[in-house]
Amino acid sequence: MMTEHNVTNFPSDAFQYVGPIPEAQNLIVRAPTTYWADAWRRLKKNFLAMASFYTIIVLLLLTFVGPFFTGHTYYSQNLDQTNLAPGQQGHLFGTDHLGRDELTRLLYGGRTSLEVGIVASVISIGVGALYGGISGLAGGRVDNYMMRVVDIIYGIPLQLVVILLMVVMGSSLWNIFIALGLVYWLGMARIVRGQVLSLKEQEFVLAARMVGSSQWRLLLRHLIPNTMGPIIVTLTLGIPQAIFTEAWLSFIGLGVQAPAASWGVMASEGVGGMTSYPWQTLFPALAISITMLAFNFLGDGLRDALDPRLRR
Amino acid sequence: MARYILQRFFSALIALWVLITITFIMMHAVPGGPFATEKAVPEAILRNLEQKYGLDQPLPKQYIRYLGNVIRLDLGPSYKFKGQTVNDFIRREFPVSAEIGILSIILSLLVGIPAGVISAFRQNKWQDNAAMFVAIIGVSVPSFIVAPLLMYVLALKLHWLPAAMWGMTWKQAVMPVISLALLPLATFARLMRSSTLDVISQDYIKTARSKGLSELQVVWRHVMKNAIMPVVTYLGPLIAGILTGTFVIEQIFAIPGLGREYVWSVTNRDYTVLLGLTIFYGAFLLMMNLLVDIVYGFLDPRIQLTGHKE
Repeated sequence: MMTEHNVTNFPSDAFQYVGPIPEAQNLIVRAPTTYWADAWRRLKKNFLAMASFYTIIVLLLLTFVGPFFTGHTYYSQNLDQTNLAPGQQGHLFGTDHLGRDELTRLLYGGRTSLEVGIVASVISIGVGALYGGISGLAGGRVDNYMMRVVDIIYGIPLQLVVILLMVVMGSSLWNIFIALGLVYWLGMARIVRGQVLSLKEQEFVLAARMVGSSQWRLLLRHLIPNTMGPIIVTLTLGIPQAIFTEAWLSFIGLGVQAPAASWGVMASEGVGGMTSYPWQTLFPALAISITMLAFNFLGDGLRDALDPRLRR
Repeated sequence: MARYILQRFFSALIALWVLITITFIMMHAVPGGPFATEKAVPEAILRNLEQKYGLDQPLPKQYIRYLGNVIRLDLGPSYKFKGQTVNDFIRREFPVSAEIGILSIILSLLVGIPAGVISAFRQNKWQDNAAMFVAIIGVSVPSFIVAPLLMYVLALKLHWLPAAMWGMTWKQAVMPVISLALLPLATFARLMRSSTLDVISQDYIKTARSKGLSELQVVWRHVMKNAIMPVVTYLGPLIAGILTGTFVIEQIFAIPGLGREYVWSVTNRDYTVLLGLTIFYGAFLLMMNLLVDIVYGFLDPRIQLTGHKE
């Protein structure tokens, strides 16, 4: 009451017109930023995620360029120098039971693992995101049927199907790609569909429709780019799964075939000689663990960075 | 509720049928057929073998016959071990795998859930950071890596535990169970932490506290009951993960379980065993998932609404 009384009783000359203040109007509290720049800013603050990011880059460089500089090939055997300990006779990480250089094979095997991860993610975007996007955009009965198919495939234990596929098609890296491809798009399809379902009700979609965008354009230029955040997170967390599957398949003897190397093959070869040559298991084990850790940390960090609402 | 269960049951049945069909087609797509070996088998013997196992019949007929056998729970004979059937393998070796699996699930629940709750209540304190760091390692390091490492340290260096000799001593179960439990344990801790964080910010927790309940009662009666739901949904994938984990773990620790048999059937190309065990595992997992879904439906009354909407 008191204040109201005072306000109404201000004399008119108590106020003075000062005109617009240009500095205040143009004052920028925070630099304008895009979604991606903002996410990058948040990611940079996350030490573990950044460390993982650089670890992955180093891993990529090492595995794709490294094998050329070790002075050995992954397949050359030297039966006079089998099971050397690390550091002996110019073999930094020792040799395996056929006298092959452990370091070269480790780097070469890393290439196999990372290739599997990359191919799995390409498939999960190419097939999964598109399938989910079409399903979500179409909606109604089409969506219902498309998702039923996903549900049924999801119900089938996929590890078993992958084993069967490898048995039937024969084990090779290409067949691992195919087996993963048949399997690794389901999760992505579900996530993209959920996002598209909610996004397509928004005004920018209406606006795009109004100016005559075709359904394809709508999907590829408007809806999927707006789902990029969840897509990237799903992708990053899916890569270690693909790497794991390859290592696991190789471990039970269904992976890449000799003389090709992969971390799973090396670990499984090493386990036999654990008692005498533990490093033959230790190195590939460490390599798998570090790679999977890096992708998991980066994925967690990306999720926090791209979707701040989920942040804790 | 009945409708929800029925619906789940039918979709599980369809998935199983698809699985059986896929396995059947794939097995018949194998180049050379089941009796193709490096050794040349005389034509007459080959034909006799094929006749004995019904492989000379047209494919649709074989398919119908196989489906009929599966319905009667007869998964067929082994081509490689004469006189043994897939059912024999399952009866003899599945209990061994089940024992390791159940122990791992119990261990992961007993450690993972409390770890997650404690992390949430000590959010961003050292307890939380330590638990979550260990948890992400648990998620990242595959069981077939943990197992050899444990074996190296505990069996070969410290000589605390035996590396093999299943059935001789209980100590033999320790390492396989820990290796298998690590991934689900870590996942439970992560799930439980995030769901507990969701729950403790709710108003009814404040109400419970303001009623004067002790902290332990609040946690036990109000927080846990509501935060446990994501853990229940994860039980399905968990069982699948443990199961595929046994494939390698049993190999590493020389455990005479069904997982090792499965891998052997892959290496030996013993097609009927591979086919039969795949269907057995598939049916088992689908049944477990169905069970989890039903339990979830009872625990969370809201699920009925989604069931009725169809």
